[in-house]
Amino acid sequence: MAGIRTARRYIFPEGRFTLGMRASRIIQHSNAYLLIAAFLFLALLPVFWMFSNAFKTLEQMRITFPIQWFPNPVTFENFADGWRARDWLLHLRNTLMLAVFVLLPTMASCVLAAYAFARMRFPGSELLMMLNISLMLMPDFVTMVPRYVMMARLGWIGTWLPAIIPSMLALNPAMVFVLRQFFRAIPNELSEAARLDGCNDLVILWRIIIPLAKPILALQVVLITSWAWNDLLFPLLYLKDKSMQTLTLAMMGFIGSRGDTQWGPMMAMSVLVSLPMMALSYYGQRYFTEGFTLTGIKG
Amino acid sequence: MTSPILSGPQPGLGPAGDPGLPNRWARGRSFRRRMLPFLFLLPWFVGVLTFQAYPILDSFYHSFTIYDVFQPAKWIGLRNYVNLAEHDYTRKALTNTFIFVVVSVPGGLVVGLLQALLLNVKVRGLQLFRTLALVPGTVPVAGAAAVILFIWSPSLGLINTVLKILGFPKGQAWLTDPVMVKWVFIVMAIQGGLGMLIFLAGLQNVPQELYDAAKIDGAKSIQTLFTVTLPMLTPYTLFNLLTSLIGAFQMFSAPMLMTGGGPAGGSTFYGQLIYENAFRYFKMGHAAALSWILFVISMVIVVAVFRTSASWVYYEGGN
Repeated sequence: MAGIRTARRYIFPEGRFTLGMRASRIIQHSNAYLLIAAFLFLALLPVFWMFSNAFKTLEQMRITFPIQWFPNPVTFENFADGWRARDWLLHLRNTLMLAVFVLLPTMASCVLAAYAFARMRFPGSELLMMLNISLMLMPDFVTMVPRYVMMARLGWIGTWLPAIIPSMLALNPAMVFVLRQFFRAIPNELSEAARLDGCNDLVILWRIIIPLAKPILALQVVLITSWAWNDLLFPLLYLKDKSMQTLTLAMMGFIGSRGDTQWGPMMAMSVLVSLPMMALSYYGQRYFTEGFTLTGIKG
Repeated sequence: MTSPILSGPQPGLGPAGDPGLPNRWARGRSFRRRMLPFLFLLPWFVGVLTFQAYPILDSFYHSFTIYDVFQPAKWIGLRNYVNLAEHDYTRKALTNTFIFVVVSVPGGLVVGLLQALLLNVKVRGLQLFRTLALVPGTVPVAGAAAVILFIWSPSLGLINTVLKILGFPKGQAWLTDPVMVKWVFIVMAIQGGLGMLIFLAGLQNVPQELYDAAKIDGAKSIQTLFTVTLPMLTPYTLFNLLTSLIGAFQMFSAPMLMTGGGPAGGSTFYGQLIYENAFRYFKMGHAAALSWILFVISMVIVVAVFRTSASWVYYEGGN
């Protein structure tokens, strides 16, 4: 599901971070500030509103006119109420477990596949890469039902195996594609020199390719964590048990059980659930830039 | 069957016998050596066969049956496809999806383009503006769902407050109205799309000379937009179009979190339709038919991607 989004981030990395400015004289500057302000206001309003209302009292939330932009008085009651409603630490732990269980096997298997695609010659490699790109564009819903039936037959529902086993099988075509693009941009002279020194492919991969690919691998950590933090379909199917629910699934229950009086705690918990991910995404952007600046070094 | 995605320059992987490569790599490779790539690809192969190919074939078979998991599947021919929309629930979801695709895909393109153009104007503080513009995209879906639910809520919501200020005192029960509710998600998709980033990337790649030339020729800014910027952006537009089309069929989390698809199926879209058919009503045959239709749609998009990729693919190792 993250496939397409990630793919297009990779395919067009420049715009996001190469902030070289070229004038487009479409809009006159005098109006530009006004338009940018309006756009940013609309875009940031929901984020601001979430933070603002997390600190409002119920009485203040009830005042709809005039719009109460800032909490006055500031209260932390919403956080206390929201915190008590669910075992959030358990859900946080489950989210992190899901991220780790998916991340480690996925990365190991995708690195191997990407190395083969990028650095080895074998019949059918182009065709298989096309297959990989096609799979990248295939919605999860296409294979969802038979996969579930398969897992159920194997007796894996209610365990972490549906997260771990498919991850061992490089079931992340976007990651394979991105790593392959990165690997093949690493100068070949390095690995050839190592090969002449008698290193085999596994050693070259471990000693040369992976250390150079650190930024792109760090980015994968951010992306998979973000998936575990955001995805609802996988937890709905495989982590339904109370003790295995992730933050998103817990939020679904929390939002679903709302009454009019619950808005404050809901905003407070949204803030708490969102903040770590917002921080991680911000931190991930650095690796993003670094990753693609590094590839640029090659001649 | 070559595509520029695949046939870009590959460092060190020149044609067989490339004189620049050591002999033992180019020629006379041992059996073990030749099998090594396949060994590296073994997990990938197994994954593709078991979790991609098999489910697709399995769906294909079951799409011609009545199947509830508990009893053996019963062959019914094309009935699942012919009667696809016979249930009110399915018909509603298909209609919703259709409206969603038709409005949010072009809408997202236009809005994304406008946002990108705006964030490409050379003004002071641009870098800060771009950073701020990226903030909403970092909010996880659970948080976004909660706050958007709040903003659209009938009694305390910001939208109805603004409507009141503008002189519509009655407001709208957006999320509890089976007809209106899908528009909340359409607006959400249009505003929250990632198209802006792609367009912004595209704008950086428009050569400055073209703008200069247009200026010398005395083109007005609106003429420049239509004769230089938009034509130069077409590859990015195409890419955005194809990915947002697939994205539209992937939409699932937001409606599940906010409305659960309700009220009365008013915000049920394609993904949830498959999900509910399979796991709530145990109509696996029906779900399989829907999965297969989605598979065919994504294959059409894949073919379109490969057919047109020459014009839009940005190849990292290029040059």
